Amino acid sequence: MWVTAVAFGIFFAGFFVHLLVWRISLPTRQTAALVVIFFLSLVGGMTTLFACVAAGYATPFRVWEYLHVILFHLTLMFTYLIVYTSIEERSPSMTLLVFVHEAGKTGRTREEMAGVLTGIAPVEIRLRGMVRDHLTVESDGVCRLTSKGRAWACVFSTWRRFLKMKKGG
Amino acid sequence: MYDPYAVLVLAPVFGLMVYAVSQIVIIRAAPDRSPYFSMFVGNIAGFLLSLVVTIGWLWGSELSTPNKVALFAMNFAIYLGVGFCYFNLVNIIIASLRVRMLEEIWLAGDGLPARQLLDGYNSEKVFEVRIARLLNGGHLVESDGRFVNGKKRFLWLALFWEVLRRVILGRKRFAAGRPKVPSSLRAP
Repeated sequence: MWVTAVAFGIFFAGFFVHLLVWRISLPTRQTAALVVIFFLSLVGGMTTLFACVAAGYATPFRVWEYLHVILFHLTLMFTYLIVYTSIEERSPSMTLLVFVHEAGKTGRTREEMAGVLTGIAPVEIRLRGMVRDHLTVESDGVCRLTSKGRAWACVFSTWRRFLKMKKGG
Repeated sequence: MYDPYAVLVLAPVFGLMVYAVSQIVIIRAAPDRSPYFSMFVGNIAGFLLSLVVTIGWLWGSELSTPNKVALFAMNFAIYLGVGFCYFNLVNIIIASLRVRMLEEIWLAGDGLPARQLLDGYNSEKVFEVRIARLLNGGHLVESDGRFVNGKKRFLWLALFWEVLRRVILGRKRFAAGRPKVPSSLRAP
């Protein structure tokens, strides 16, 4: 029970700090900020736990109980980071579904849906995001990959071909 | 020294391994089938293994019932999380425009003209791909030139995302970021 309480407590402390920071000022690099917040939450939580154990306020955890807490935190952290990417930049498919849902039984025309999607998912936003995240650089009208971009492209391409999947997007 | 608690901790990890191996075997054996089929089967297999190992361990332990329930909840959350992460690791190949663009630039060798990327992945083409995917999956239905919702599963997820966005971004940013029908298409 104590293990579960500590695990949930550390994660939700980080989540609470994230909400607080977001209300004060939205960071420019939101994903990076989330990683820092959740990492610090884990470090802070574990440090507090060690201190409580040392001071006799808590029974010592076994090594695997500490690992259980860390596994829980890292799993939820990565899960939330993935979820957050579609909060930060709207998923075109989800946007279309909600947009159609809001029209009820009358539905939407193709033109209305195309118009809505143009506003939120132009390729220009994706390209700017890739430059901002140091995946590509653009010079003289040509987009080239940085070493970081090449590494990611190699990983994804290899993974796609290993799964024998066609190109997506 | 061996600690039996390790088995409980590793149960969702074993589940993830079964998920990944099953999914890879199925998708490589049947590349023409929808990749979501392999992910569905793999996820069920991994979940069942994780569930059996977790329940088996807890059943045989001497912990109190509330403690067992709490640890079960923890492992359930971990498996859902790792399963979700793995799902997205495969889904990113299917759905991510950014990954597609990265790969295209990489395969081109010495970069790609930005104009070519903008023309090749313009909003109209992206729209058509998305619409086709939603229609083929039954999430949208076209009737008399208008689109209505079909299967509800993806819609419920999308609506949940809207609630999450509202909570995290706050009311003003949420409202500012909501997609709108272009004024030229709005009814008078």
